[in-house]
Amino acid sequence: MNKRILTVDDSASMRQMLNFTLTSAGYDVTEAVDGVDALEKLNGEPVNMLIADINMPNMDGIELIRKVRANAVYKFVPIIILTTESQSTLKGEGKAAGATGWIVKPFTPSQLIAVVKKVLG
Amino acid sequence: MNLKVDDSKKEGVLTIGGTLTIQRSTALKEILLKALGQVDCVKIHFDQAIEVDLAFLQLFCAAHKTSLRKNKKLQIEENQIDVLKKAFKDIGFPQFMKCKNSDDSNHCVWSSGGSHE
Amino acid sequence: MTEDLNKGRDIFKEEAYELLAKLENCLLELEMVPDDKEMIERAFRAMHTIKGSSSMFGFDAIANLTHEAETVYEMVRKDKVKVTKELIDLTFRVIDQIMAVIGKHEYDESADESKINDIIFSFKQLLSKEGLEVSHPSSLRSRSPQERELSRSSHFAEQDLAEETKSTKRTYMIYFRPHHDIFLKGLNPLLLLSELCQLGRCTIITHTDLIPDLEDIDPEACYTYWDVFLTTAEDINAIRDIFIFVEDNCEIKINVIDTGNSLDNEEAHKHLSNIIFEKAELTEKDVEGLITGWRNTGKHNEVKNNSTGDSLQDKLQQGGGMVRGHQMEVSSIRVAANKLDKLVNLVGELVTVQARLSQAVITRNDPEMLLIAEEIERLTDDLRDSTMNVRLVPIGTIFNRFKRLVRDLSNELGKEVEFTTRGGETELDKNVIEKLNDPLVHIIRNSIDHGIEPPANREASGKSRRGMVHLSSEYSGANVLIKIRDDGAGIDLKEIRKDAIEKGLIREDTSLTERDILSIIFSPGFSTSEKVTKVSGRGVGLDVVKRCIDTLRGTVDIDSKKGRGMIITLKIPLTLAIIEGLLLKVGDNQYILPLSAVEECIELTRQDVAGAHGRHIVNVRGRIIPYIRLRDFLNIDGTMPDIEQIVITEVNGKKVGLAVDHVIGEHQTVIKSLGRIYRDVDVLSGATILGNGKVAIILNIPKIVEYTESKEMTMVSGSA
Repeated sequence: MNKRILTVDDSASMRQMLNFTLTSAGYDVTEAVDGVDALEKLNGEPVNMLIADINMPNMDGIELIRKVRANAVYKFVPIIILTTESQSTLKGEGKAAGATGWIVKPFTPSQLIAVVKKVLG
Repeated sequence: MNLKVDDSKKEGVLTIGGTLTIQRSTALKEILLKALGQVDCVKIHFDQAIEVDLAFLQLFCAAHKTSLRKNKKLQIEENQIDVLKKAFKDIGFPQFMKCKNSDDSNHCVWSSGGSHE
Repeated sequence: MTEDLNKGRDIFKEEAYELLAKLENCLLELEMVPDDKEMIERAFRAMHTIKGSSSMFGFDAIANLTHEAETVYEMVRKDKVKVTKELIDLTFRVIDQIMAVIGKHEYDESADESKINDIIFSFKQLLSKEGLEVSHPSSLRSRSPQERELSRSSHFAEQDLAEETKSTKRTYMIYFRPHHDIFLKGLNPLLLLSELCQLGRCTIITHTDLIPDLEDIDPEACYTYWDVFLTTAEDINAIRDIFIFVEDNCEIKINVIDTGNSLDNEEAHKHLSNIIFEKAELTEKDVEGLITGWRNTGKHNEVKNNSTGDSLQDKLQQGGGMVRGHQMEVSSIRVAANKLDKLVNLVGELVTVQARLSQAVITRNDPEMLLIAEEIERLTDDLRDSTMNVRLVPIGTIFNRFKRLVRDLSNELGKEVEFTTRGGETELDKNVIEKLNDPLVHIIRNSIDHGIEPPANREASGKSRRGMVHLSSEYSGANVLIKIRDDGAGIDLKEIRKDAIEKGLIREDTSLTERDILSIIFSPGFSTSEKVTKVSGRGVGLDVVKRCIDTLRGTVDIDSKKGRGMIITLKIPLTLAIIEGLLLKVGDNQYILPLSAVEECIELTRQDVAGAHGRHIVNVRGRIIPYIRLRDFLNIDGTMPDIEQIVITEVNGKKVGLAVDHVIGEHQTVIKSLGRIYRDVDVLSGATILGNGKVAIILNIPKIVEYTESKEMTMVSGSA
């Protein structure tokens, strides 16, 4: 059974890139457009990993992580946040909220896979 | 998860399988405690392919320690080692990982899956 | 792969285009309320997203630009930099350059590296002027795993070169002890260890002494820790990289215990681990002993191949068909416009066939078939409405573009203009909206250039300094009314008349109503501008507008008071493809009039005709209305029926009748173009296929009236 990854980003091109790269690497991908959408898509169902943007409308990545971690189902799920290099403080905030790691935008498909392998195997 | 105790009340077979990861570690701890409390020799049987993680290994290691202290036995059934090995392989368990306290028997989870060919 | 990349790039372009439009709006809002937090946040987010995606799809120039802009806006968010006109102008230039790069520019701006560098420089200057440190992009970067990943792979390349001359491998001893709560961060230490193994020869010793008894263990905590011996050609940073996510969640020590190749064999590693097993600690002496023991064996084991065979690239090549996820959980989808056009065409065909079916069924008088035909008619109607609805887009999408236009123009002309819009949610067919862009640009340019006076002049004539241009749209039956209103100088009727006479458009003695004079400004070759400016009056006048609106089967109406301003009203049919028509018969031919233009139908008897004494007029409830006999207009032979019918319509505010043989009734009309040969015959606006398979011509009432009037005028003036 393939591992399922939920990607959360308000940018369609970013979602496309994530989806394409992860699917090609053999993961199943579910897409969400923001934090609120992500929680709806999760709906308490198990997922193997989360990749979430920080800057999003409605509910941002930090709040999403807090909400997700608060649910016992996702206590140990790896969560990777997407940041840009100008947001170094957000990494700390993200980690404090319960993020596992981060990927700095922009990134290449192989960089993405390297990070996913690091936390998901 | 199922514990079957034979009539002599000496030996029990603990059948587990599927995802044996941190999500289920609390339940796993309880059934291991129960097994070691009831019988002298606990044999582990995997009823299906298993998925393991570090939490499982630690738990098993703890159970093993406890069994030694209580003069009891905790064993993985002889023909089940391959199931564990496969699970180790699936999670990319480092091949050359050894436990310092390992007695090099099949009963140490660290060495049973990792270092053997 | 390239195909997918291209697809990705296309999506990026579309997205960037939308984001830039949003950004543009934010900037315009900020220009008025510079400290609007919400707008700053939105602007920041738009740039942030563009930046993130752009370099992934190979648009490095865009990434560089947005990086600078984002940096400044980050400062703005933190209240360290204020929103100034300078910043907004600069950001507009960013937008223009990005538009140029993604090939969506409306103005004639081309992507230009020097311009981009110029903008980047200006951003840096802006920050330094604010007394803020000009941060070099790289200094902003903190450690990111993949950057190191990159440095690592380039390191690989260097290593390959060095391999031939001498390969030096170091042996590291790594102590790795995760904190108890590491699992709660979603971290898996085993994965990190296996990653470590991929760097070279690796021996891992697991310490389990801290694992408590089963009774005491917290099943969700980590108790295990490790010592690792790693012999690798990689430097220490490559090792640190592996632990980058856990740095704050573990204790880690990395020591080099040997810098030669001496320990790169299995026996050496075995000995090392034995020493740990026995003494739990490794001293320098131990290592030294080992090294001298193994130094001269000369055994160089093969380097472990680190390249993983299942890289993304490989997978992509293997599974070419594996494109995109199968889960499309999105609430809206993008559809190429031509697919929609095809759908509309198909629905059009269906409507035609359905009409034929209904007619055929009526002649057979089969009740069961009649029922089915009615059902199909209902479904076809629904399908038609839904399909048309899919093509509807709010006109606000183009309204927003004009804000930018007004801003740029008024700056350029030194005028102060407040631009307001209303009714942006009014929906029109996508094709119609696209075609409306140019005429509206033209009208707005005209309003600002010729209508709105310079601030000083306005004040002198008792007006407010700021001129007003208001753009609104609203539904009006099957039409949408788009009004462009300004409070500028308005139109001087005498000037126009004088001009028109000079240009030979009218004769000196022609008597014209106010409306007629105003409509002259839409004539070809008429331009009121005294001097040719860059903005408007390039020789092309408002006649271009008229022509554009004509192709949309719409009308242009103008109203103006000298010194008070001007209102131009565009009346546009909701959709282009299917209209409600009125089916008429003249001789053996059938014709369609757009139902929206029809007011009523009355009968015309022989007595009426005789009572008019040869003039084509009819008395409708006391009002005298002129009419045009289509039979004459279209040169159709044959005998007229005793009682004709007149369809009363309104053209340019005047009632005009069209006399026909019979009015058959309403008809769902799918408009087909007549082809290029008839392109210049403007009295015909298209054709449709009737239920019986015959063709009916769609008539353009305003053109017929216009044509007839001009013919009569020449006759009158010719006889004078």
